[in-house]
Amino acid sequence: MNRKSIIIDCDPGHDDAIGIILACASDMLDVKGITTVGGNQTIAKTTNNALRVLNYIGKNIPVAMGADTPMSRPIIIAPSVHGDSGLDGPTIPQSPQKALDISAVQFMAKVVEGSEEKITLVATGPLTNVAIFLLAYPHLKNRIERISLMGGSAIGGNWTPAAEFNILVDPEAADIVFQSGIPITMAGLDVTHKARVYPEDIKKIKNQGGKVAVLVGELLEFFIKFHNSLGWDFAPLHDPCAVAWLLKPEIFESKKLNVVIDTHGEYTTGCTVTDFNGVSDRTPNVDVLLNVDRHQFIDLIIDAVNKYQ
Amino acid sequence: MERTPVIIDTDPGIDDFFAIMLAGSCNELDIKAITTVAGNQTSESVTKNALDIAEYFHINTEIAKGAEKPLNMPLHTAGHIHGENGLGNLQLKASKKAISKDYAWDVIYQHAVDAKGKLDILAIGPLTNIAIALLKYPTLSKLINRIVLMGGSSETGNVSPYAEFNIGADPFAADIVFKSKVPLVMVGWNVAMESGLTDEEVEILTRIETPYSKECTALLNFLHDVNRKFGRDTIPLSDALAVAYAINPAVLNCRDCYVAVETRSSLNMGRTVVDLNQTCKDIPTNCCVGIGTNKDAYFDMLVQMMHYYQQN
Repeated sequence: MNRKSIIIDCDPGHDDAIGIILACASDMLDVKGITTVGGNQTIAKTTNNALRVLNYIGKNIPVAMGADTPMSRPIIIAPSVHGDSGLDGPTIPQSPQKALDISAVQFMAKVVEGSEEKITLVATGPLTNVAIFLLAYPHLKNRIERISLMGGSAIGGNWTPAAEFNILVDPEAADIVFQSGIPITMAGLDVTHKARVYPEDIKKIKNQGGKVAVLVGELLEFFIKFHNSLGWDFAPLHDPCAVAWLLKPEIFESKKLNVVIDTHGEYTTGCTVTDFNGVSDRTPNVDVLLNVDRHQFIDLIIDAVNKYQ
Repeated sequence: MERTPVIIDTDPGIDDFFAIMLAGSCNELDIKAITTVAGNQTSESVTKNALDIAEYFHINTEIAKGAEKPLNMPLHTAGHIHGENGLGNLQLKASKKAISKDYAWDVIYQHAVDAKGKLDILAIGPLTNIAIALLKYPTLSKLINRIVLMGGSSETGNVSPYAEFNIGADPFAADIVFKSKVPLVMVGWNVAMESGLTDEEVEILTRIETPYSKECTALLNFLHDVNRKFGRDTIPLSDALAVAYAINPAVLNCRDCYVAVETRSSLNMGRTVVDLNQTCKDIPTNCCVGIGTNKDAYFDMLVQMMHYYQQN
């Protein structure tokens, strides 16, 4: 079987870390590298977190550090969700590895240029690196097979009433990505709020045994606390959706719709304007994920942690 | 039982026709005035329609004309939904009654003062008149019991991905109203769509013989065809749902939310931005938002309405 070559651009982050673990466990994906971006925490922390997670799970995959701030705005970080380190909760030792000497976008270009087959980008943080890559290497655009991203929401937001965090942090970058013409899969809050992990699921994952199962369990134990504070009895597993869709698209429901990014709203900046009812005359450009079979999704996570035993 | 004094601010409009019909049939509301605003059709057309509809249903109340266009934008009417005359090209008998010598906003203020804090405004068109009233009379916001408005959406819209017609027609007026601190109930496009009448329900309603059957059936048929063109197999009577809520709040499930109106972004212009996930914890809620319908209760009310007109 041909493995799909991917680069994961992320800002770990608890759910990013689980996304990485899910991707690296799969025989279907060849993770060419991890690029990091400021978002859930500052770039120094998200890069360190990526290195620590890869070292912990025993995967020798290159990490390249990307943008420390959005394209034209100050950065927003999310310590209330991910803690001071960006990966609070489990004890994860420092990695002996360092990030590459080249930047995230240079690394992306190198991988894309060196690959016979097209590369799929999995983006689970703000889209700053992806946008800069598309701007700086216009000739490589047609070498990108698809961008599977976690971000946005057709209805409602989680950081403002109308915007989801990743898109809100860098709406201009998102605008460039969504206008790029590259096929996009959008795992927004519409689906990620249905990718629910309950305390009994966390217990089950942890009980699989093995250090990766324990890590994922402890990540989720921390991650669910923030969501408990919202009055939710579950944690929405945002970022792994963007990976899971590549592994098992059949457990998702999606609709091809037009999505454009609002960069000018007083209240709606960062909104992924999704034309559900076809009232704009804009052409559908995004596969918008709307639902997921939660149990099959959890099973994917469980299968993944068991691969590390 | 004491009736609630109400003003219906409206732009008839076919669903406005049914909203006024419903208001005229109930024991709960005392219609102090009908004020008109340009929206579904021009001010001239909607004012004529308001006069004709009131007379048609023997609703004896003051009719006052309001704004001829939105606060700071050109008027875009909805002839493709409501027909060239705003009433699906139905010709009612022309009323000979004179309109009020006062503007809509002055009539609203006067009735608010007279009602001593008990006045409800049922705003089922663009919010231009209400905004002008609030601007002209700074004390008005404290004199109104509440505004029940048909407009906006907590989900998707009908004039752009998220904007609904009434708010999209005059976003700046809506912004003023949503910031006014007057208690608001938002009956939006989301619940209007959810409460759309099926063919079977229309059949049940039109089978109840009233002196108004011919006209009602013609209007419902007109709406049926319009909605089919949009790929919808039910008929949302948006404005009637707002009046139904004013009669009995049980027709809707509501949630108190913070709602802001977007006026700066072209993509989201006129969207009622509803904080469904409570991301703005420090901002007080300002609107009771309809998020679900109790269809049975609503439909029963429409059946009751038909029975009322059967006997009156």
